[in-house]
Amino acid sequence: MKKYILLFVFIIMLTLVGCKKEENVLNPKTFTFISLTATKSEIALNEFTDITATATGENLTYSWSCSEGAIFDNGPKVQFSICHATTVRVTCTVSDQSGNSESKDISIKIGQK
Amino acid sequence: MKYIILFPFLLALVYNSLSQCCSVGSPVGGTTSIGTLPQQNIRYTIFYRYGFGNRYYSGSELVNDTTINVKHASSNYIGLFLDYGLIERFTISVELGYYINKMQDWGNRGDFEASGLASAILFGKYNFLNDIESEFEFTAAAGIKIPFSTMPIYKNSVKLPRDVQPSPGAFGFVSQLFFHKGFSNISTNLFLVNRIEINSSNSNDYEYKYGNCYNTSLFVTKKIVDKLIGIVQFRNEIKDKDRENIGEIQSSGSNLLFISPQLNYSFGDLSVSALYDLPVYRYYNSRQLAGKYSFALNFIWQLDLSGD
Repeated sequence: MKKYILLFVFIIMLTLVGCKKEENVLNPKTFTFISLTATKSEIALNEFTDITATATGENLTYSWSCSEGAIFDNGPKVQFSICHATTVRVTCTVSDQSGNSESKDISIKIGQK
Repeated sequence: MKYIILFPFLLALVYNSLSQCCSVGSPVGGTTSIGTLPQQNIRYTIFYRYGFGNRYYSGSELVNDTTINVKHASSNYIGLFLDYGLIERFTISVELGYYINKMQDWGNRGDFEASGLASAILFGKYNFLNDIESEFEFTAAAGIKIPFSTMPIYKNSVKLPRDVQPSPGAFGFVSQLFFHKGFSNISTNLFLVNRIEINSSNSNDYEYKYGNCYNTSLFVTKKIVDKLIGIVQFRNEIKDKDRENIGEIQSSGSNLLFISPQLNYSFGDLSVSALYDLPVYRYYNSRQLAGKYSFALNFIWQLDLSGD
C-alpha cells in the first residue's frame, strides 16, 4: 500500500512540476499590450523607420529584438534600419513588475525603393 | 620526432568571413589546429586575430554606395587550443574562443559593441596513416561545437545586432581531414586540410541557423634558414546561407579565396607565427560587408610529459 501511495505522490509532484504556468495567479497582468506599429512597413536600404509599442499600464519595460538589422534607442519607441534587402521581424516584449509579459511581432520589408 | 615538429607551424584563419551584411569575423570557427600528437604530449596554442572591413560586395563586385549606414566593422579575437596525445595516434583537443570586442560603426548613429566567449569545440583526432618512409600522413578529426551562451546579448533591453554577438548561440558538428606529404630533400612540405562545420539553429533567437562552412586549405612550407620557416596558404571558404524560421537570409553565404603568407620562428619548445590574409577572389550573395584585411599572431608551446 505504501508503495502505491508513494507512486501517487510522485505522479502528483510530476504533474505539478510539469504544468505550464499560463498565468501568474498571485500577480495578475496589470497591462494591456494594444499594438505594435511602424511608421513605414516598407523602407529602402539604410532608411530608418520608427516602431512604436502602445500599451496601457504602469512601470512597464520594453524589450526589443529583430531577426536581422539593428534597433536604436529603447523604451516604447525605437528606430530600425538595415543595409540589405530582406524582410525582418521586429519583436517587442512588454513586461510589468510582477513578471508578466506579452510579445508582438511586426514585419518590415526592406527593398530597393 | 620530425612528425612532432612540423605540425604546429600551420595557422589557418578559418574566418567564415561574414555571417551576413555587417560583420567581420563570425563567432563560428577560429584557426585550424591540425595533426595528432605523440602520446602524453601536450600542446598549447594561443592566437590573436584582428579583422577589419569597410567595403560592401554584391556578388563579386564592389558596391559604391556612400549612404550605407554601417561604416565599418572590426573584431579582436583570442583563441586557445589545448591538444593532448591521449594514446598513440589519438589526440583530444579543446578549442576555445573569446572576442575582446566585436563592433559595428553606424556613423553618427553610434557604435554597437560586445565582447564575450564564443564557442568551445571538443575534438578527437585519429591518425590513420603515418608512413615515415614516404613522408605521408592522413589524420581525421570530428568534434562538437558548444556555445557558451544560447541567449543573445541585450543592452538597455535591446538586442544587439547579430553580427556583434560573440556566440553563435547554437551547437554544431565539426569534421576535419588532414593530409601531409613531405619532401625532406628540398626542406618542403605540403599540407591539405579540409574542415566542415555544420551548425544547428538557436531556439532563443528566431531559430537562427548559421550556414554550414566548408573550408579547404593547401599549405606549402619551406625552411628559409634554421628555425625560420616560410609558409604560403591557399584557402577556399564556402559558406551556405544562414536561415531563420521564416526562410533563408539572402544576404548571407559566400565563396572566398585567400592567399595567406605566414612566417614561423621557433625558440626551442615555443613557436611564433604571423599571418596576413590577402583575398584574391570573393563572391557574396546579395550584398554583404567584406573583410578588408586581417592578420593573426600565433604562439605554440609543446611539452612532452611522458618523461621518456
